[in-house]
Amino acid sequence: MGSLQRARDRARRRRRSRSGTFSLSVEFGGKRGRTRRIHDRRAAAAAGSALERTWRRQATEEPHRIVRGNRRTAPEGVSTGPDTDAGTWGPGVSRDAMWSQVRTAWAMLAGSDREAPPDRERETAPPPRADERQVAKEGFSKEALPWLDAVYRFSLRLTGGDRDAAEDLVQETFLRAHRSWHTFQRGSNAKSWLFTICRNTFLHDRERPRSRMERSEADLGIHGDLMSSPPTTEGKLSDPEREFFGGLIDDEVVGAIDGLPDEFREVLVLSDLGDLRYEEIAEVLGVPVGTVKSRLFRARRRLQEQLREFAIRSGYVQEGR
Amino acid sequence: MMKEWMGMMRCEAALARLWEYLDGELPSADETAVRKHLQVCTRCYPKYDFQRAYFAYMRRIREKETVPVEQRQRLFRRILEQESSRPGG
Repeated sequence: MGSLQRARDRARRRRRSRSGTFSLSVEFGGKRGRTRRIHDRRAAAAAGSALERTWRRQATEEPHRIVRGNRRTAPEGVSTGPDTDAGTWGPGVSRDAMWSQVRTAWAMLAGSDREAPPDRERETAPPPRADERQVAKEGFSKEALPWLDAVYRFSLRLTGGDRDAAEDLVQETFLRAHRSWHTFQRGSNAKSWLFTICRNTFLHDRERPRSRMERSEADLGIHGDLMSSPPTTEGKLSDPEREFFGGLIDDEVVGAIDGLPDEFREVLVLSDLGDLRYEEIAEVLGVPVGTVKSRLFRARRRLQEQLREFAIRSGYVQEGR
Repeated sequence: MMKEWMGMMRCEAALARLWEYLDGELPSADETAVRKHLQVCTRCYPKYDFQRAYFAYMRRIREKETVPVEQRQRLFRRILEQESSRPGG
Protein backbone atom coordinates (compact mmCIF):
# COMPACT_ATOMS: atom_id res chain seq x y z
CA MET A 1 0.00 0.00 0.00
CA GLY A 2 1.48 3.26 -1.07
CA SER A 3 1.79 6.29 1.11
CA LEU A 4 -0.95 8.01 -0.85
CA GLN A 5 -3.37 5.15 -0.23
CA ARG A 6 -2.54 5.13 3.50
CA ALA A 7 -3.22 8.84 3.70
CA ARG A 8 -6.61 8.32 2.06
CA ASP A 9 -7.46 5.54 4.50
CA ARG A 10 -6.57 7.77 7.48
CA ALA A 11 -8.73 10.54 6.07
CA ARG A 12 -11.65 8.12 5.59
CA ARG A 13 -11.32 6.90 9.19
CA ARG A 14 -11.27 10.45 10.44
CA ARG A 15 -14.46 11.25 8.53
CA ARG A 16 -16.19 8.16 9.95
CA SER A 17 -15.12 9.01 13.48
CA ARG A 18 -16.50 12.55 13.07
CA SER A 19 -19.94 11.41 11.93
CA GLY A 20 -22.37 11.54 14.84
CA THR A 21 -20.53 14.40 16.49
CA PHE A 22 -20.42 18.16 15.98
CA SER A 23 -16.65 18.45 16.32
CA LEU A 24 -15.03 20.45 13.58
CA SER A 25 -11.67 20.13 12.01
CA VAL A 26 -9.64 22.57 10.02
CA GLU A 27 -6.94 20.21 8.89
CA PHE A 28 -8.69 19.78 5.55
CA GLY A 29 -9.69 22.61 3.33
CA GLY A 30 -11.53 23.08 0.07
CA LYS A 31 -13.52 20.08 -0.94
CA ARG A 32 -12.97 18.37 2.39
CA GLY A 33 -14.51 21.29 4.16
CA ARG A 34 -17.66 20.82 2.11
CA THR A 35 -17.69 17.15 3.01
CA ARG A 36 -17.40 18.02 6.67
CA ARG A 37 -20.48 20.23 6.48
CA ILE A 38 -22.45 17.45 4.86
CA HIS A 39 -21.45 15.12 7.62
CA ASP A 40 -22.45 17.65 10.23
CA ARG A 41 -25.91 18.04 8.76
CA ARG A 42 -26.36 14.31 8.67
CA ALA A 43 -25.24 14.10 12.25
CA ALA A 44 -27.65 16.82 13.24
CA ALA A 45 -30.46 15.05 11.43
CA ALA A 46 -29.64 11.79 13.14
CA ALA A 47 -29.16 13.17 16.61
CA GLY A 48 -31.01 16.43 16.16
CA SER A 49 -34.31 15.50 17.70
CA ALA A 50 -33.07 16.60 21.10
CA LEU A 51 -31.78 19.86 19.71
CA GLU A 52 -35.00 20.42 17.86
CA ARG A 53 -36.96 19.80 21.01
CA THR A 54 -34.84 22.43 22.72
CA TRP A 55 -35.50 24.94 19.97
CA ARG A 56 -39.20 24.22 20.03
CA ARG A 57 -39.28 24.64 23.79
CA GLN A 58 -37.47 27.95 23.56
CA ALA A 59 -39.81 29.15 20.87
CA THR A 60 -42.81 28.15 22.95
CA GLU A 61 -41.57 29.59 26.20
CA GLU A 62 -40.38 32.82 24.68
CA PRO A 63 -42.95 33.84 22.09
CA HIS A 64 -41.87 36.88 20.13
CA ARG A 65 -44.85 39.01 20.79
CA ILE A 66 -45.75 41.97 22.88
CA VAL A 67 -49.02 42.63 24.53
CA ARG A 68 -51.47 45.36 23.76
CA GLY A 69 -52.01 48.12 26.20
CA ASN A 70 -48.35 48.14 27.14
CA ARG A 71 -48.26 51.79 28.03
CA ARG A 72 -50.97 51.31 30.60
CA THR A 73 -49.17 48.55 32.45
CA ALA A 74 -45.58 49.42 31.72
CA PRO A 75 -44.26 51.23 34.79
CA GLU A 76 -42.59 48.31 36.50
CA GLY A 77 -39.32 47.00 35.22
CA VAL A 78 -38.71 49.90 32.91
CA SER A 79 -35.10 50.78 32.43
CA THR A 80 -33.64 53.96 31.00
CA GLY A 81 -31.77 52.73 27.96
CA PRO A 82 -31.91 50.50 24.94
CA ASP A 83 -32.12 46.79 25.47
CA THR A 84 -28.62 45.45 25.66
CA ASP A 85 -29.11 42.92 28.42
CA ALA A 86 -29.88 39.34 27.50
CA GLY A 87 -32.19 39.21 30.48
CA THR A 88 -34.44 41.91 29.18
CA TRP A 89 -37.20 41.51 26.71
CA GLY A 90 -38.27 44.46 24.68
CA PRO A 91 -36.92 47.97 24.95
CA GLY A 92 -35.90 48.38 28.53
CA VAL A 93 -38.50 45.99 29.91
CA SER A 94 -37.44 43.05 32.00
CA ARG A 95 -38.79 39.63 31.22
CA ASP A 96 -40.65 39.39 34.53
CA ALA A 97 -42.20 42.78 33.94
CA MET A 98 -43.19 41.75 30.45
CA TRP A 99 -44.90 38.60 31.72
CA SER A 100 -46.65 40.72 34.30
CA GLN A 101 -47.89 42.87 31.46
CA VAL A 102 -48.93 39.78 29.57
CA ARG A 103 -51.07 38.57 32.43
CA THR A 104 -52.55 41.98 33.12
CA ALA A 105 -53.25 42.74 29.50
CA TRP A 106 -54.80 39.37 28.82
CA ALA A 107 -57.05 39.80 31.81
CA MET A 108 -58.11 43.19 30.47
CA LEU A 109 -58.58 41.87 26.97
CA ALA A 110 -60.53 38.88 28.16
CA GLY A 111 -62.82 41.11 30.15
CA SER A 112 -63.36 43.63 27.39
CA ASP A 113 -63.84 40.99 24.75
CA ARG A 114 -66.62 39.43 26.71
CA GLU A 115 -68.45 42.69 26.94
CA ALA A 116 -71.32 43.04 24.57
CA PRO A 117 -71.30 46.10 22.32
CA PRO A 118 -73.19 49.09 23.64
CA ASP A 119 -76.89 48.76 23.28
CA ARG A 120 -77.88 51.08 20.49
CA GLU A 121 -81.54 50.63 21.30
CA ARG A 122 -81.38 51.44 24.97
CA GLU A 123 -83.16 54.75 24.44
CA THR A 124 -86.31 52.87 23.59
CA ALA A 125 -86.00 50.26 26.32
CA PRO A 126 -89.09 50.09 28.52
CA PRO A 127 -88.85 51.41 32.06
CA PRO A 128 -88.10 48.80 34.69
CA ARG A 129 -90.84 47.24 36.69
CA ALA A 130 -91.02 47.86 40.39
CA ASP A 131 -89.49 44.50 41.25
CA GLU A 132 -86.52 45.21 38.94
CA ARG A 133 -85.72 48.52 40.49
CA GLN A 134 -83.68 47.10 43.31
CA VAL A 135 -81.61 45.10 40.85
CA ALA A 136 -81.03 48.21 38.80
CA LYS A 137 -79.80 50.07 41.86
CA GLU A 138 -77.39 47.31 42.72
CA GLY A 139 -76.14 47.30 39.17
CA PHE A 140 -75.60 51.02 39.28
CA SER A 141 -73.41 50.71 42.34
CA LYS A 142 -71.41 47.94 40.77
CA GLU A 143 -71.08 49.16 37.20
CA ALA A 144 -71.39 52.95 37.28
CA LEU A 145 -70.00 54.20 40.58
CA PRO A 146 -66.54 52.68 40.08
CA TRP A 147 -66.02 55.22 37.28
CA LEU A 148 -66.65 58.20 39.53
CA ASP A 149 -63.02 59.30 39.67
CA ALA A 150 -62.51 58.77 35.95
CA VAL A 151 -65.51 60.95 35.13
CA TYR A 152 -64.27 63.51 37.63
CA ARG A 153 -60.92 63.74 35.87
CA PHE A 154 -62.68 64.19 32.56
CA SER A 155 -64.87 66.87 34.12
CA LEU A 156 -61.88 68.71 35.52
CA ARG A 157 -60.33 69.08 32.13
CA LEU A 158 -63.60 69.91 30.43
CA THR A 159 -64.12 72.75 32.89
CA GLY A 160 -60.57 73.99 32.57
CA GLY A 161 -59.57 72.85 36.03
CA ASP A 162 -62.46 74.47 37.90
CA ARG A 163 -63.01 72.08 40.78
CA ASP A 164 -66.42 73.44 41.72
CA ALA A 165 -67.67 73.21 38.17
CA ALA A 166 -66.16 69.75 37.80
CA GLU A 167 -67.82 68.46 40.96
CA ASP A 168 -71.10 69.93 39.80
CA LEU A 169 -70.72 68.27 36.43
CA VAL A 170 -69.87 64.92 37.98
CA GLN A 171 -72.89 65.07 40.22
CA GLU A 172 -75.18 66.00 37.38
CA THR A 173 -73.72 63.21 35.27
CA PHE A 174 -74.31 60.51 37.83
CA LEU A 175 -77.74 61.73 38.82
CA ARG A 176 -78.74 61.65 35.18
CA ALA A 177 -77.17 58.27 34.74
CA HIS A 178 -79.02 57.01 37.77
CA ARG A 179 -82.32 58.30 36.43
CA SER A 180 -81.64 56.63 33.10
CA TRP A 181 -80.11 53.48 34.46
CA HIS A 182 -83.05 51.41 33.25
CA THR A 183 -82.04 52.31 29.68
CA PHE A 184 -78.54 50.99 30.11
CA GLN A 185 -78.08 47.43 28.96
CA ARG A 186 -76.29 45.35 31.50
CA GLY A 187 -72.90 44.16 30.42
CA SER A 188 -72.30 46.94 27.95
CA ASN A 189 -69.64 49.60 28.41
CA ALA A 190 -70.77 51.67 31.39
CA LYS A 191 -67.64 53.78 31.28
CA SER A 192 -68.23 55.02 27.75
CA TRP A 193 -71.86 55.58 28.57
CA LEU A 194 -71.00 57.76 31.57
CA PHE A 195 -68.40 59.73 29.64
CA THR A 196 -70.97 60.37 26.96
CA ILE A 197 -73.47 61.66 29.49
CA CYS A 198 -70.79 63.82 31.07
CA ARG A 199 -69.75 65.36 27.78
CA ASN A 200 -73.29 65.95 26.62
CA THR A 201 -74.16 67.53 29.94
CA PHE A 202 -71.15 69.79 29.75
CA LEU A 203 -71.85 70.87 26.18
CA HIS A 204 -75.49 71.48 26.90
CA ASP A 205 -74.80 73.36 30.11
CA ARG A 206 -72.12 75.49 28.54
CA GLU A 207 -74.71 76.86 26.19
CA ARG A 208 -77.32 77.43 28.85
CA PRO A 209 -75.66 77.59 32.26
CA ARG A 210 -78.43 79.46 34.04
CA SER A 211 -81.23 77.29 32.82
CA ARG A 212 -79.24 74.25 33.87
CA MET A 213 -78.94 75.50 37.43
CA GLU A 214 -82.62 76.31 37.61
CA ARG A 215 -83.54 72.97 36.14
CA SER A 216 -81.24 71.08 38.45
CA GLU A 217 -82.67 72.65 41.52
CA ALA A 218 -86.25 72.17 40.40
CA ASP A 219 -85.91 68.62 39.15
CA LEU A 220 -83.59 67.19 41.71
CA GLY A 221 -84.35 69.16 44.83
CA ILE A 222 -80.70 69.99 45.18
CA HIS A 223 -79.79 72.01 48.22
CA GLY A 224 -78.38 75.43 47.77
CA ASP A 225 -74.91 74.66 49.09
CA LEU A 226 -73.58 73.19 45.87
CA MET A 227 -75.10 75.95 43.82
CA SER A 228 -73.93 78.74 46.06
CA SER A 229 -70.92 79.19 43.81
CA PRO A 230 -72.10 79.40 40.22
CA PRO A 231 -69.93 77.16 38.11
CA THR A 232 -67.76 78.75 35.53
CA THR A 233 -67.61 76.51 32.52
CA GLU A 234 -65.89 78.85 30.11
CA GLY A 235 -62.20 79.54 30.16
CA LYS A 236 -59.68 78.83 32.87
CA LEU A 237 -59.83 80.03 36.40
CA SER A 238 -56.96 81.62 38.22
CA ASP A 239 -57.74 79.50 41.24
CA PRO A 240 -54.51 78.75 43.11
CA GLU A 241 -56.01 75.44 44.25
CA ARG A 242 -56.14 74.20 40.72
CA GLU A 243 -52.53 73.26 41.14
CA PHE A 244 -53.17 69.56 41.09
CA PHE A 245 -49.75 68.15 41.03
CA GLY A 246 -47.47 70.75 42.49
CA GLY A 247 -44.40 72.15 40.88
CA LEU A 248 -43.51 73.83 37.66
CA ILE A 249 -43.74 70.71 35.56
CA ASP A 250 -47.30 69.98 36.58
CA ASP A 251 -48.31 73.55 35.91
CA GLU A 252 -46.90 73.39 32.45
CA VAL A 253 -48.59 70.13 31.58
CA VAL A 254 -51.96 71.06 33.00
CA GLY A 255 -51.81 74.49 31.44
CA ALA A 256 -50.93 72.98 28.12
CA ILE A 257 -53.85 70.56 28.30
CA ASP A 258 -56.30 73.25 29.33
CA GLY A 259 -55.05 75.47 26.56
CA LEU A 260 -55.86 72.99 23.83
CA PRO A 261 -58.86 73.61 21.60
CA ASP A 262 -61.96 71.75 22.73
CA GLU A 263 -61.86 69.06 20.06
CA PHE A 264 -58.24 68.26 20.89
CA ARG A 265 -58.53 68.56 24.65
CA GLU A 266 -61.48 66.23 25.04
CA VAL A 267 -60.00 63.46 22.93
CA LEU A 268 -56.66 63.72 24.68
CA VAL A 269 -58.25 63.68 28.11
CA LEU A 270 -60.47 60.75 27.22
CA SER A 271 -57.44 58.80 26.07
CA ASP A 272 -54.60 59.84 28.31
CA LEU A 273 -56.49 60.66 31.49
CA GLY A 274 -59.67 58.68 30.95
CA ASP A 275 -57.79 55.65 29.65
CA LEU A 276 -60.36 54.94 26.99
CA ARG A 277 -59.47 53.03 23.85
CA TYR A 278 -59.94 54.51 20.39
CA GLU A 279 -63.24 52.76 19.80
CA GLU A 280 -64.60 53.87 23.15
CA ILE A 281 -63.61 57.46 22.47
CA ALA A 282 -65.25 57.28 19.07
CA GLU A 283 -68.40 56.13 20.78
CA VAL A 284 -68.32 58.96 23.31
CA LEU A 285 -67.67 61.64 20.73
CA GLY A 286 -69.80 60.14 18.01
CA VAL A 287 -67.02 60.29 15.42
CA PRO A 288 -65.14 57.63 13.42
CA VAL A 289 -62.09 55.96 14.92
CA GLY A 290 -59.94 57.57 12.25
CA THR A 291 -61.05 60.99 13.42
CA VAL A 292 -60.22 60.04 16.98
CA LYS A 293 -56.72 59.05 15.99
CA SER A 294 -56.19 62.15 13.91
CA ARG A 295 -57.34 64.49 16.66
CA LEU A 296 -55.49 62.61 19.36
CA PHE A 297 -52.19 62.65 17.52
CA ARG A 298 -52.51 66.32 16.69
CA ALA A 299 -53.36 67.09 20.28
CA ARG A 300 -50.35 65.17 21.51
CA ARG A 301 -48.10 66.92 19.02
CA ARG A 302 -49.27 70.25 20.34
CA LEU A 303 -48.60 69.11 23.86
CA GLN A 304 -45.30 67.74 22.69
CA GLU A 305 -44.12 71.11 21.56
CA GLN A 306 -44.58 72.50 25.02
CA LEU A 307 -43.40 69.41 26.86
CA ARG A 308 -40.31 69.44 24.74
CA GLU A 309 -38.93 72.36 26.67
CA PHE A 310 -39.59 70.47 29.86
CA ALA A 311 -37.90 67.42 28.40
CA ILE A 312 -34.81 69.39 27.47
CA ARG A 313 -34.55 70.90 30.91
CA SER A 314 -35.06 67.51 32.51
CA GLY A 315 -32.51 65.82 30.33
CA TYR A 316 -34.84 63.46 28.52
CA VAL A 317 -33.68 64.72 25.16
CA GLN A 318 -30.94 66.97 23.98
CA GLU A 319 -31.65 70.27 22.37
CA GLY A 320 -31.80 70.03 18.62
CA ARG A 321 -32.79 66.38 18.46
CA MET B 1 -30.27 52.04 4.17
CA MET B 2 -29.16 50.87 7.54
CA LYS B 3 -32.73 50.79 8.81
CA GLU B 4 -33.84 48.52 5.99
CA TRP B 5 -31.30 45.91 6.85
CA MET B 6 -32.81 42.42 7.08
CA GLY B 7 -36.31 43.77 6.60
CA MET B 8 -36.12 46.07 9.61
CA MET B 9 -38.86 48.69 9.73
CA ARG B 10 -37.68 52.17 8.76
CA CYS B 11 -37.43 54.91 11.35
CA GLU B 12 -40.13 56.95 9.66
CA ALA B 13 -42.55 54.05 9.68
CA ALA B 14 -41.79 53.18 13.29
CA LEU B 15 -42.25 56.74 14.48
CA ALA B 16 -45.49 57.06 12.51
CA ARG B 17 -46.84 54.12 14.50
CA LEU B 18 -45.34 55.08 17.82
CA TRP B 19 -48.52 56.50 19.36
CA GLU B 20 -50.61 53.52 18.34
CA TYR B 21 -47.89 51.23 19.62
CA LEU B 22 -47.90 52.94 22.99
CA ASP B 23 -51.68 52.94 23.06
CA GLY B 24 -51.73 49.21 22.42
CA GLU B 25 -53.85 49.72 19.31
CA LEU B 26 -51.57 48.29 16.62
CA PRO B 27 -52.20 44.98 14.88
CA SER B 28 -49.93 42.25 16.17
CA ALA B 29 -47.60 42.19 13.17
CA ASP B 30 -47.04 45.95 13.21
CA GLU B 31 -46.59 45.89 16.94
CA THR B 32 -43.84 43.32 16.66
CA ALA B 33 -42.13 45.25 13.89
CA VAL B 34 -42.14 48.48 15.88
CA ARG B 35 -40.88 46.73 18.99
CA LYS B 36 -38.02 45.12 17.12
CA HIS B 37 -37.10 48.43 15.57
CA LEU B 38 -37.06 50.17 18.94
CA GLN B 39 -34.86 47.45 20.35
CA VAL B 40 -32.01 48.31 18.05
CA CYS B 41 -32.54 51.89 16.92
CA THR B 42 -30.69 54.37 19.07
CA ARG B 43 -32.23 57.23 17.12
CA CYS B 44 -35.85 56.31 17.77
CA TYR B 45 -35.49 54.94 21.26
CA PRO B 46 -35.10 58.35 22.99
CA LYS B 47 -38.33 59.48 21.35
CA TYR B 48 -40.08 56.35 22.52
CA ASP B 49 -38.62 56.79 25.99
CA PHE B 50 -39.83 60.36 26.16
CA GLN B 51 -43.37 59.41 25.18
CA ARG B 52 -43.34 56.66 27.75
CA ALA B 53 -42.33 59.21 30.36
CA TYR B 54 -45.28 61.31 29.25
CA PHE B 55 -47.67 58.43 29.83
CA ALA B 56 -46.12 57.68 33.18
CA TYR B 57 -46.74 61.28 34.12
CA MET B 58 -50.37 61.06 33.01
CA ARG B 59 -50.78 57.94 35.11
CA ARG B 60 -49.61 59.85 38.14
CA ILE B 61 -52.15 62.56 37.39
CA ARG B 62 -54.87 59.94 37.18
CA GLU B 63 -53.90 58.56 40.55
CA LYS B 64 -53.96 61.99 42.17
CA GLU B 65 -57.22 63.29 40.78
CA THR B 66 -60.01 61.75 42.79
CA VAL B 67 -63.39 63.03 43.86
CA PRO B 68 -63.17 64.68 47.29
CA VAL B 69 -64.69 62.60 50.06
CA GLU B 70 -67.30 65.20 50.95
CA GLN B 71 -68.41 65.49 47.37
CA ARG B 72 -68.57 61.74 47.06
CA GLN B 73 -70.78 61.42 50.13
CA ARG B 74 -72.99 64.26 48.91
CA LEU B 75 -73.45 62.52 45.59
CA PHE B 76 -74.37 59.21 47.19
CA ARG B 77 -76.84 60.94 49.48
CA ARG B 78 -78.55 62.63 46.56
CA ILE B 79 -78.68 59.47 44.54
CA LEU B 80 -80.54 57.86 47.40
CA GLU B 81 -82.83 60.86 47.67
CA GLN B 82 -83.52 60.65 43.98
CA GLU B 83 -84.20 56.97 44.27
CA SER B 84 -86.60 57.40 47.16
CA SER B 85 -88.46 60.18 45.36
CA ARG B 86 -89.17 58.01 42.32
CA PRO B 87 -92.70 56.82 41.78
CA GLY B 88 -92.85 53.30 43.10
CA GLY B 89 -89.35 53.58 44.47
